[in-house]
Amino acid sequence: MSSASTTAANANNGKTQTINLEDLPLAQLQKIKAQLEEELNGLTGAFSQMKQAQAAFRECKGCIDALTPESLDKTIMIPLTNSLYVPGKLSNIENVVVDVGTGYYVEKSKDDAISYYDAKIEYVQNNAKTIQDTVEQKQASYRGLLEIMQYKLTQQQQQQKQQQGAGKQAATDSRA
Amino acid sequence: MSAEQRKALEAQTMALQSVQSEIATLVGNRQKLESQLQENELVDKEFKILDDSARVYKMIGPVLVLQEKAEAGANVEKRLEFIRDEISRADQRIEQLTKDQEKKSVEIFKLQMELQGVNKA
Repeated sequence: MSSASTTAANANNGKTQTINLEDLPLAQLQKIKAQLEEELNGLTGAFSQMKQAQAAFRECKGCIDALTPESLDKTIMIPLTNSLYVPGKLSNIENVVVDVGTGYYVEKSKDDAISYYDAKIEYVQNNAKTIQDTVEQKQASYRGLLEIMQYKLTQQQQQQKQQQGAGKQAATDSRA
Repeated sequence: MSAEQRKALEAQTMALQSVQSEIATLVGNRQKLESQLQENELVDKEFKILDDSARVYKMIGPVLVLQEKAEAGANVEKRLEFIRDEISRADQRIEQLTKDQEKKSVEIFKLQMELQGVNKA
């Protein structure tokens, strides 16, 4: 019986339902615990990806800053493949070509490129903050869930002890 | 009698599992579409704030090919529309399958109850 209703409950994952955790049996609670663990793992993964993206954008900015007027006509190595480079000369220190996504690249001046990356860094920072907030919320729910599960577990154990005690009592009564 | 019911139960359970795995695939696809949508929206925004004089390149294989800004902008907007259509289609299909899944769960539940009833009697 529980398998059918849990499957139905899992299908409703998209809709938010307020369920009182204390009313649920231990088996349900374990399923929710596993689900929360999975969500937390996913969110922490996304968070570290955001941080990596930020670092990449900062590095891009650093590269742009390296394009000073002194570096004009300097020799640079241009990769033809992963292991083949050709020497070239830096001829354009005013414009850079920026990857804007989906295979499109835009030529921008140094300043425009820097403001582009600044905007990206801020955007990613905001996303990372949202993820962090969600993670904290879920961790709080998780801790609450663990407490309730612990409580139920002790309750269950006490019940079992009582039943065993009553069983022994009945046995001694029947002997007497 | 109960052997027939058992077979029916097995068949329904397998059907339910296949619906569930289809739903999981669809949900995964939808998430991919969602991230594509966001990426294209960023590019769209970028094109809108660009000067007309700015040069836009498209990466075709290993080559950056100069494109007209208008053409690239139109391309991205078409892509956006397409992705939005795909997303709404996927949503509809997911809704359909979820209803199907619920129906099947209920039927399985009924069959299980019947089976237990027969065993008790």
